[in-house]
Amino acid sequence: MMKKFITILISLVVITILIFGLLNVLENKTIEPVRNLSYESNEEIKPYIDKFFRDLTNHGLTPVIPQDFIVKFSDLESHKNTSHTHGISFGYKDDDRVEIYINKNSWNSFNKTQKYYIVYHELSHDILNLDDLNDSDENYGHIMFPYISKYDDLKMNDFIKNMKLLFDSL
Amino acid sequence: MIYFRFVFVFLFTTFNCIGQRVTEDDIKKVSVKLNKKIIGIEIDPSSGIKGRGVISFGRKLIFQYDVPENWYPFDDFKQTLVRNLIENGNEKMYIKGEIDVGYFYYKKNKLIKSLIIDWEEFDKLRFNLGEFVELTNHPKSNGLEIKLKRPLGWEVKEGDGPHIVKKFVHEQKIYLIYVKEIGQFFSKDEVNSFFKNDSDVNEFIKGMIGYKGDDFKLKKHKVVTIENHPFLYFSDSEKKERMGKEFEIISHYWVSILEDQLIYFMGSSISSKDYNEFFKITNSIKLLNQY
Repeated sequence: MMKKFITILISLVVITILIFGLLNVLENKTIEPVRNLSYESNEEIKPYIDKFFRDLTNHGLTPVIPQDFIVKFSDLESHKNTSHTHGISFGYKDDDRVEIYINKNSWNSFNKTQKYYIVYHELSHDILNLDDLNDSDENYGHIMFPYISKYDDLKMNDFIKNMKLLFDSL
Repeated sequence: MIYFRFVFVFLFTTFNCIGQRVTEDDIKKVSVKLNKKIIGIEIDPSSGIKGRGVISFGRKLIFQYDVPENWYPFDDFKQTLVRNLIENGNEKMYIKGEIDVGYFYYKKNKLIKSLIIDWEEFDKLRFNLGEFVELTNHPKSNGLEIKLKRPLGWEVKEGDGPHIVKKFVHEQKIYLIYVKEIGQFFSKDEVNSFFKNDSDVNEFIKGMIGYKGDDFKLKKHKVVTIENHPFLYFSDSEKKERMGKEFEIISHYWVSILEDQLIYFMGSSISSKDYNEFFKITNSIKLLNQY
């Protein structure tokens, strides 16, 4: 009985390790090309990042900002796994890392409101560990709605209301 | 164009020297002098228009031109001419001297186009809005997407303070656009509700105009809508003294919070009659993220 239990336990541990290992391999398969396609974009994105942290503070939220903090543009369209991605974050559920890449082509086609949405959305993944919402009508306009490209008719007032709604709820 | 400038400088100098109201005799004398200078001169080499002469009838000063065979007046000829005169500040001498101005155009000695601009008409048309001044990408606009029209003949200047984006200046009138980040976003509903509270509004205006005393009384204010966004309108007056002469500066403010920026449009002058002009400039504002 005891032997059977130990066998099951070991099997579970091995399977878990294998799953995490596989996920890690998959992430590395994506992250490396995305990293290689990235470039410095501090000047353009920094004002949006600064406002994100300012607004968190205004709402009494003071998360620790990790040393390992990267937010850059990347030519996501040039890589097959991210070709239809506007932004990607790798620091979700990892409090020691913020690593975000924003599709430069998407950024260039976005209006001001969408630019705020994408930066706040990706930072909310990595800093606040928030997951995407479902693609449903009731979530439209929310910061964690997964399709920012559908927000081309939203205005800054929509962004402000939804940003406050999110931060007030935390 | 260069010759036109000379003619206007000559006219302006002449009428300014006279000082008192210009008489019909003065206008006649000027027309005689101008006539000698304009005959046969190519006014505009690109179109081939030549000066034919200058005459006067009563208080009318008439410039006559010979035009080439292929010249035709364009559709909005009068409006364009008036706009150009105002844009270059040349309408002032006609208004000051109460002189009507005429332009006659001849083709093979046959009058093909004439127009008279009454000096009072100039005065009415004097305040006209020109083209849009785009402020969206101005570094002091802090990302706000704004454009507004400047009045014809008003000079557009860069703001001299850290938050003044642009200034429109004309004689003793000034209209400026001010933008300053306030450190947090406000939705339209929040701004509306803030403006409904008189006590908040009182403090807000006191802070804005830098009033230090306790006896501040908000005289007149109202909430108005500019491009779908609530703005607070109020006016303010301040007594000043220069070289022993006292005068009052009257300022009109349209102020709001747009996104995370304090924004105001302010028109100032020494006359209470200029409100309509400031109002018209403000009414031309386009807030491009509203629709």
